[in-house]
Amino acid sequence: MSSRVQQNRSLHLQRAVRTPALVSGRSNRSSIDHGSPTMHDVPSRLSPLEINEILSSILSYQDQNTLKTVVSRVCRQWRSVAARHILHALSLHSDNQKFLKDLPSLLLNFNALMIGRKIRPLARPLSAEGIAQWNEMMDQVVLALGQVQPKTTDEHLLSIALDSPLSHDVEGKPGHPLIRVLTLSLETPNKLDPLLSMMVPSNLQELILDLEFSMNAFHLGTVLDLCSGLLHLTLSSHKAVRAMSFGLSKSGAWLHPASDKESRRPHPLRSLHILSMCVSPSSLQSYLPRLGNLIEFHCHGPRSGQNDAAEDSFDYAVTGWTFWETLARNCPLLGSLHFVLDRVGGHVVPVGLFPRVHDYGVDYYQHTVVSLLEGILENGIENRLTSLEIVECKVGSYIRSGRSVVCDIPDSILHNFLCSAPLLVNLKTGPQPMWSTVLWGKDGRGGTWACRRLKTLSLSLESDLLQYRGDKAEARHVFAYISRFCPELEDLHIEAGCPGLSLKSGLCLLTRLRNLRSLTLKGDFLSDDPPSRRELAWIQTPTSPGIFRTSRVSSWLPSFLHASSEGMNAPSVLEEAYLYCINMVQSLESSADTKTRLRMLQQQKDNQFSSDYTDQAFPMVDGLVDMEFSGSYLDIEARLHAQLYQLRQLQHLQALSNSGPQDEVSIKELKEAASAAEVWPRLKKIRLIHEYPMSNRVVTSLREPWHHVEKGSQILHVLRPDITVARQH
Amino acid sequence: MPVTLTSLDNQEFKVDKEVAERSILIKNMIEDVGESDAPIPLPNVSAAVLTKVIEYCEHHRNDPVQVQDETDDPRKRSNDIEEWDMKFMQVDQEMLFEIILAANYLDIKPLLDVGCKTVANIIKGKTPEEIRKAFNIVNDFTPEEEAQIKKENEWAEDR
Repeated sequence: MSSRVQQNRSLHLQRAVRTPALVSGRSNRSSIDHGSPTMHDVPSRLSPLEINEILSSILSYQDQNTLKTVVSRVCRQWRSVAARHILHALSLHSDNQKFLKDLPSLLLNFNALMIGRKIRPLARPLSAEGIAQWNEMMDQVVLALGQVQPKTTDEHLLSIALDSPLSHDVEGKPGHPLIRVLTLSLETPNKLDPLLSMMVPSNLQELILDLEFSMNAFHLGTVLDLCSGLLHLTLSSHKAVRAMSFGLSKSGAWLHPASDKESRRPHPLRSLHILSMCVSPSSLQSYLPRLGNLIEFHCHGPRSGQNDAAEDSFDYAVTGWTFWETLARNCPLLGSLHFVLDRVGGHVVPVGLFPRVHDYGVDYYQHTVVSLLEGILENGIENRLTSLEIVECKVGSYIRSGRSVVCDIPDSILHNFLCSAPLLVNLKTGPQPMWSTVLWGKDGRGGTWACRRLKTLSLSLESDLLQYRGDKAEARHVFAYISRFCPELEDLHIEAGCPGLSLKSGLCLLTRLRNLRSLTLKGDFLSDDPPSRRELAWIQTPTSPGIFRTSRVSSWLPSFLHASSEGMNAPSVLEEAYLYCINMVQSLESSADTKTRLRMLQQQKDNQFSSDYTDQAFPMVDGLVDMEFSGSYLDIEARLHAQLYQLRQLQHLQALSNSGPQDEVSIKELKEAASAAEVWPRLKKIRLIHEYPMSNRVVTSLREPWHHVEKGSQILHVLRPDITVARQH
Repeated sequence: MPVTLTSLDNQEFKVDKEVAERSILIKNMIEDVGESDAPIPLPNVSAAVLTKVIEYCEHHRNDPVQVQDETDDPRKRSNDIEEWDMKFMQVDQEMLFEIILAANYLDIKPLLDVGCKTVANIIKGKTPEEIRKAFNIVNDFTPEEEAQIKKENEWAEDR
């Protein structure tokens, strides 16, 4: 008995040795000097500092500054362990009073806050009570920052976002030196100076300003002066701006010209992103002499109907020669230009809501684009440009005229640009009516593209129907040209409205593109015929695209499956397939406005997919897990739901409608569809997105157990109660 | 009922079970093995260190057992050491390290925490070089690495 107990103890001891309070994970390479004499006859002269877990526990009591400036410099092991505790940035996104009150303790328990938990951004300014708590909170935040033990790494780099209930009388406090990225929401310009003075540490690297006002040249100068070490600046606004806040008045005179002294002081800023035209590039112009280190300049044009002044201001910028001259002269490192002209009139705009939108014609926006490109070309910027995006430059449905018009970049200008931009890596453009001119120049007399380093090319080709109808040779020309002159292409996206551009005749020419990883062909490609064996041979090459998208997968899939049965890898490359059903699902009474998109993920070999894209097609897509569609009428969508009853694998269904309030028939259809949706056993979520507010009746008439989440909102989520509620804002 | 603990150097210590069970390791052993007069060998702890550990456990015999999860502890401050604990930890550095190792081995978390806090307080206010000297740590950074680290921290040192 005694010996058995002793034996048991021995076993327990062995087990216990393996499970100390902190598991002994010795550092791979000890930096402890073992030369010192021993104190006792201890068999192992292990120092607790050699055990990473104990060292980590010790270092967890150090403040952030000590961790960064002292502990990290002791030895490699200490640096490695200290990295677990170093706070890189902090995310504060809430105006909830309790949250603010508890913030200091939350910070002290920073582990939970930092790891992958995204808190909603602020939706409104702080209340009066919140303002009163601000000063006290900030003291504690700064205090807490010195004592938190965040378990974070560089991958969890977040930003600190603080609301701005501050007024001029708030006593300035220095920003915490550990904050490298700062996001500020500002209501009015008069808070800009005190807030930046208080919050911005001198070593701040990135500043993101979310403005509810437009900045003028003076405000911009304030930012540059107060953030003297800033490398990245993003200015955005989610609200409409006021006309006179811009740096230029309507007459073009400076409202707040930069002083000579300010304009001479160089600034290290490397990237500048201006979103939603919250600051005019013209306002920026006076500060360009300071921004000699600028490498990236991204500018998003005004959104549809955002504000007349914003549109005017954008016009000033891109049509004003002085802007491009100044940019070219003062920013020799500038290599990335990103211009987005958002869709103007692309959505159905309610009559009378934004009257000025209708005053602008195609000519206005085309003039803007032309000015932008000419400004680049005339000032030699194209020689060093690596990225240019001019996307969604489209003037869509006009309420007044009822017509849809496309605004394009003049093909000859784009051709000239591509022939003189040798460093271009990324190009995305809008529709090109005379697309052959883009390739060969006007009347075929142009040069050849110089952009041989191009990796991303996204072209939208709209054809003159009369000139190119049925000429499939054009397809060979396009594929041959692009593959010849852009051999480094990795991502090719061609959206074509040209009936002459056929998959059948030219796809195999893309074999030349050895680095191609993603190929998207979208539009009216003549793809009724399955791909030929020659094309399948291309698809099965080792360098074939990882992602392949085309317009009519239904006709291709049997070929892929057939190829698969012969040992070719065609189906495996079909990671995502999109089917655009325009006038295809006849039983749905689809109109020209109704688009149905199926998104197929991880297509399996044994899945069946009909090449006959009729109403019978949907039940046969039994492997479908994710479906998105858009349409004008909910009753059509509801019937589409009915077509999907047999999709036993369906997990996500999203519908987009832009037709506004629905009638009772639609309500009934939707209700039936929602009820019937229970036959989809794996369905996790249905989302109905309405671009315009819809009647609450539609929502409330959905029977239990379905319920709405965002009642009265523009975006409605119809969710089953047994699944996770996901909100979209 | 007393429990007999045998140290590395074969010295036996008779302590109350209540005191011995401050160590989670010993507590689990007693629970697993059952009541027994046989001494419990602690081959990783010397007599000198075990004396100190028993002293600590005797003093804290009536403290509530710490069950709080580490992640629930909102505050980690090294300046909240009790006065008795602070005096208890006034030993030479080698003994301090031995106590920490013993606390880790015996799974006595409060003692381990006090030990870590004490070492943390020693580190505070020291330069990297002083820390190396205090703990016999070899600087294994290359000059290039050291320059890089210094450069990374320039902005923080200025403040």
